[in-house]
Amino acid sequence: MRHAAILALACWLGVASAAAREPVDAYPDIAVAYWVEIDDAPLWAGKADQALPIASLTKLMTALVAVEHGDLDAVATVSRTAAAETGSRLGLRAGERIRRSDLLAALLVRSANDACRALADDIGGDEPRFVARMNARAAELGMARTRFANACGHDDDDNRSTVRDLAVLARAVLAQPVLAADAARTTFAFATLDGRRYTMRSTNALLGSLDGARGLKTGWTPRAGRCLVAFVERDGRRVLAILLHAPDRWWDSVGVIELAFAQPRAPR
Amino acid sequence: MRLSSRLVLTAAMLAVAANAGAQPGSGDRYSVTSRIEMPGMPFQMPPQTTEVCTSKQAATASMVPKEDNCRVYDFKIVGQKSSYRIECTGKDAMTGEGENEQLGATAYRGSMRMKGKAEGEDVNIVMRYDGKRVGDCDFGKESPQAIGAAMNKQACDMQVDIPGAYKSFIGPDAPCASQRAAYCANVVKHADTMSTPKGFPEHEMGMVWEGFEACGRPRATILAKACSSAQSGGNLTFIGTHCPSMVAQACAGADARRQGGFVAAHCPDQAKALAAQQCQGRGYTAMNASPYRDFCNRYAGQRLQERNAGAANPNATPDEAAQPAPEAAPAKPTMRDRLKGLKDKLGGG
Repeated sequence: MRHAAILALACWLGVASAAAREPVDAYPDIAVAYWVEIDDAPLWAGKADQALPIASLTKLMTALVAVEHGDLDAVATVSRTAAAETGSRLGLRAGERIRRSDLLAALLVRSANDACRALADDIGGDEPRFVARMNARAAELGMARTRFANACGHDDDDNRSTVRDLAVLARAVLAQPVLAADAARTTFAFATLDGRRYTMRSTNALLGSLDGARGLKTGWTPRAGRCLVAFVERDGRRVLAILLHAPDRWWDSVGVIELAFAQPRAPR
Repeated sequence: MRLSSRLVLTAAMLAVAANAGAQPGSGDRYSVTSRIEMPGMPFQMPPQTTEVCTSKQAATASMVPKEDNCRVYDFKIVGQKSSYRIECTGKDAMTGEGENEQLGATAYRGSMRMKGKAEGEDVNIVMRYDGKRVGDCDFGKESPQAIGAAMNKQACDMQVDIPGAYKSFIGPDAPCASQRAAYCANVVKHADTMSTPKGFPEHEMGMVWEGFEACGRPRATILAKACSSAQSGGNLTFIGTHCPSMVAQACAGADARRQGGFVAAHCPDQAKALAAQQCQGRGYTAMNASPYRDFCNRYAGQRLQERNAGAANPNATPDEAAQPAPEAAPAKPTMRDRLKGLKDKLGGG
């Protein structure tokens, strides 16, 4: 009797402790906070639950909400507020008509704030209502320490997340084929319905430079510093690396990704 | 098998053991319904029903299923009731008691309580069960003990093709020792496919090597052949991973522009000098035109390791490594948290 009961309990407790396993802080100097996982299993992390500014990594949630809303063939009209967006931008003009799918790609590839705001305004009616949907989706995903204050990642005391929460968000984004494909683009071009053409190159320097790099999003603001969510796939293995406020995000993300892939596969 | 199913089976096994001898013939088939209660559990597990084949013998203490480090004592039969106590020592020591009551010729009911610690936390389990005879059965084949033996055989059969499972087949406590010959025949066949790098699996060999050794295929012999093949085929990745005696020679002939991964990982002096010339101080985006880009990518990991040499061991288990900053460390889940998680597992389908 005891044998089976203990076996059952040990099995259950074993599963519980595996689920609660914490990654070790092996590379503390690469960022204020970071997270590295391979095949969905955490490897290394530092300050995994510290809420920090995340700059344009915010747009991952913007993109997720937009895709889940659907109707990406719909046409958005660029609002004045969208055209007036600052930071990284395409130079959209108020009144231009653009497909939502093109705005979505532009906000992921170029991190364009005007495209981001135009999409948020179009889907949400206005930015506050869209941001409310972002926060609701974060809550649904269990991103307990995440709060969005705007759609595009401008510095704000109330626009924060943790690397652990961002890992959850990144997995949700990667589960959307449209987003996974857009985030992997090195370049993107589109035309407005009025015929004006825009071309752009990805802000993600890993794409095309690092073997297997598939995305996912860059970010920078004065308060957030250099941020990155990197996703790399090789030989069926997947590494996700998230860095917040990383002084040398490219080299250090590459380093930590290579080290993750150097981890032996678990014996069968 | 789900936790609830295991506990139900456990309850059923105990029930039939204590109830043995209820009917004449080869065996009696009982339908047993069990309910499990764990104080502190925030939900009620649904009753589970299973059929069990019972013995015709009279109930004895030896019929209580238990581990080797457990003893059954105070086994008593008074009228239609039997009762006993059980004590288990060692890791996760537990104590318990059980009772069973015959209800006429075709039914019984009973309960058992176990108390102890699992992973340092108090555990209390109460199982209640009712049994109703539903027909005859072949006790020799269908009893819990017979089913257990069949399951053991099935487990051995499933492992006989797995080279890393040598502990199941070889050694004084090997549960499948009778199948050692079949196991080794499979292991030898597998080892003989590894004379070239192509035959090696991508995953870590782990205990596979020990299985090979135990069946008379020494690791050194297998590697000597495979490394020789790797050398003639210029497979530096394999040499770096499996052939340490060949690494120095391979480094001397390696070209970091084509074999950057090998040089970065296995040729430290060469890599350091080359990195100083080709990688360090350069912006990442400036590397796109460099033939050393892949080498520099690979070497970035080495640099990170050097810079963070004093930090937690990246290969350590979480318990061995330095813990994250206090604000980053979530509280250890309590028993209640685990039970809540268990509810999801049980209900999740």
